[in-house]
Amino acid sequence: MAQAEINLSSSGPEVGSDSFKSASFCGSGSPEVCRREKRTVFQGQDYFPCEASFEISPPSIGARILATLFRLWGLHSLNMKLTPLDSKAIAQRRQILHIMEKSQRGHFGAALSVMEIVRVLYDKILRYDSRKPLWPDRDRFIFSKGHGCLALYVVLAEKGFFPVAELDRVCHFGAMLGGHPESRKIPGVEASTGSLGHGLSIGLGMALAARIDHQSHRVFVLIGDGESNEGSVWEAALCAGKHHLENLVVLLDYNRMQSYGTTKEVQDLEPLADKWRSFNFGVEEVDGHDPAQLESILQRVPFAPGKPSVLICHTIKGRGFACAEGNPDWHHKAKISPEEVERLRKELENTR
Amino acid sequence: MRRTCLASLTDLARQDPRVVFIGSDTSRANLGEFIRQFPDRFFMEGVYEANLIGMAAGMALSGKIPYINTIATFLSRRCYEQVVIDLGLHNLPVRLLASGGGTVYAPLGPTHLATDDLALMRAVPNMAVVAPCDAEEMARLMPLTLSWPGPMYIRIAKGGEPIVSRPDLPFRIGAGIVLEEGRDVLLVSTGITAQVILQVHKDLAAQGVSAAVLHLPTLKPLDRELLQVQARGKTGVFTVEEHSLVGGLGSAVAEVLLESGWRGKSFRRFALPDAFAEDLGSQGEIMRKHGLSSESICGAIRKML
Repeated sequence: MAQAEINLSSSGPEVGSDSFKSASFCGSGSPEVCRREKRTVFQGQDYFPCEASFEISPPSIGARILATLFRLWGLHSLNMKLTPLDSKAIAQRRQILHIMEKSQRGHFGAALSVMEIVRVLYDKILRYDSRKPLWPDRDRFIFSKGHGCLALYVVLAEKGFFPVAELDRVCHFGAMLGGHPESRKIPGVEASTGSLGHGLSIGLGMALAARIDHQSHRVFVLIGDGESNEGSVWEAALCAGKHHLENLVVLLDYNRMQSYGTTKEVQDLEPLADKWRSFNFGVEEVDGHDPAQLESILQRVPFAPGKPSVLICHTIKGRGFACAEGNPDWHHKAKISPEEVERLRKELENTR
Repeated sequence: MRRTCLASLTDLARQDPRVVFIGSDTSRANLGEFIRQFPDRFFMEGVYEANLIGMAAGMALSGKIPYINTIATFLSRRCYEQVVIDLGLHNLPVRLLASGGGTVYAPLGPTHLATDDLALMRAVPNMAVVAPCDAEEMARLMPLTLSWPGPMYIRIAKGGEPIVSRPDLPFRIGAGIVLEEGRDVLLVSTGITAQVILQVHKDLAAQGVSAAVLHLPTLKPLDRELLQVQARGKTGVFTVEEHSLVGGLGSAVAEVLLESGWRGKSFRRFALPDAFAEDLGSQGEIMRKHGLSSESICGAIRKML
């Protein structure tokens, strides 16, 4: 099977259709060659150069079918097309795989679904100074779904909050970086998270404090869909709506998978956008793997006057690794063999 | 005591712009002045304690000192994980003003009795646990809360307790107070049981037993040194608390005494049983039923000596 064009658009308006790009990805089948254009230039240069074409080694048929179905379903509600991963996206995923290899554990799937969200925040949206992590006027970013922290570590290291060498010893005894981010140890981490459902209330408190002090910084909180099972998330949403917190932005990683399986089977959240609207939030939706779209939409916060904002980011858990995409076995992984790492490396280089 | 506590917040807010009040759908009584003078620092929020602890943590991370008030059991049990992680782990200066600690809400049944709050809060690293014995001690405590670096749980009693604390004895967070010196036995209290052991002290004195009275308004960090000094040479140590037998004052004192090699004859914890309350009625009735009156404590001690 040759390169397969997939077009999910059906009748009805496309969300943000002007900024959704047509895309192609490799269908299931035998080894094949995929072409990926080098499309992202980061700060005037191709920051993470990579090869433009690769040989794909086929993962198991089951995994491919599952991943394909998942992609279709995950993007369906947005009439969205799959955004190919650019060179930086691939390079950051290499780093995540590197951490997994060194630490022999980690919440792989979640880190991959939030990767572009975190990247765009630190590349384009947040105001911060990595040399002065506690600069009072910085925007606050609470990484509430703490288990996805490998993505955060990759970006914080890249931005100089701590030496990149720290990525070699994540979860080791005496290390700074653990399986969940801790604010008392890691420069740039605003709050210790890991237990789900805490971050939005903390962000809400920060947003209220900024209002009391007439400060103009904003608070961004990244939460997960599994996390949204926690009642405290909705307590905080109720409270944020009441306070009309324009300076509070929730980024919801909607990868539609939780630990056991799909959100559909464990705890369906739909109609998700309607829920947030009814809690008095301004709501937007986006392809959470498209940096350009993420940037343009996040430049527009608040989404509605006098309301906090929520950006529902449609993502793919495990994005970039065919065997992990939409596969709950890769929610958390420990003890990864060198062969497995090698296979993942190949999958990444062949992904689109 | 509650009135003293809440009314003092207006003064604290005037002194310190970091002070913020958060209520969980509580009464506006005693807060009118605060609302008038500092409306931007007054937050009367809904009945979602977990959210409020996180919200207070977020404010504290931005430099505020939030004081949260609601019923003790909802401020301890209901949002325990938020207290442990958001306040304890982050070691933030948030004050939990816990109304009706102990058996104050006796007529409302077991859902409203906070008889495990001291144990729960003691188990939280970085948490200070303070239970003043009367309104005047509360008044001495409140100004000191501005400068305490970490989180603090403050147990507020029913109110109208007889004043037994003494203005001439210095009050410090983390320090015990010797209300009476004695030779033979040591009586130890936290919170409102100071009044009980003072009466026990008098009753024992009438029977020729000299009892020292050590009041520990701060249960954590415990004044281990003073406790050890006071226990030394006493034949008996007796703790009295309005709390379950599990993990409260008696447990804390026993831990210190055992580890310090205290070798007295008798040790006993006078406390509520490790059980849910079966009775309604009043605080006094429940305390009496479980032997927490001065008469029954005095009688029990006499038997042990």
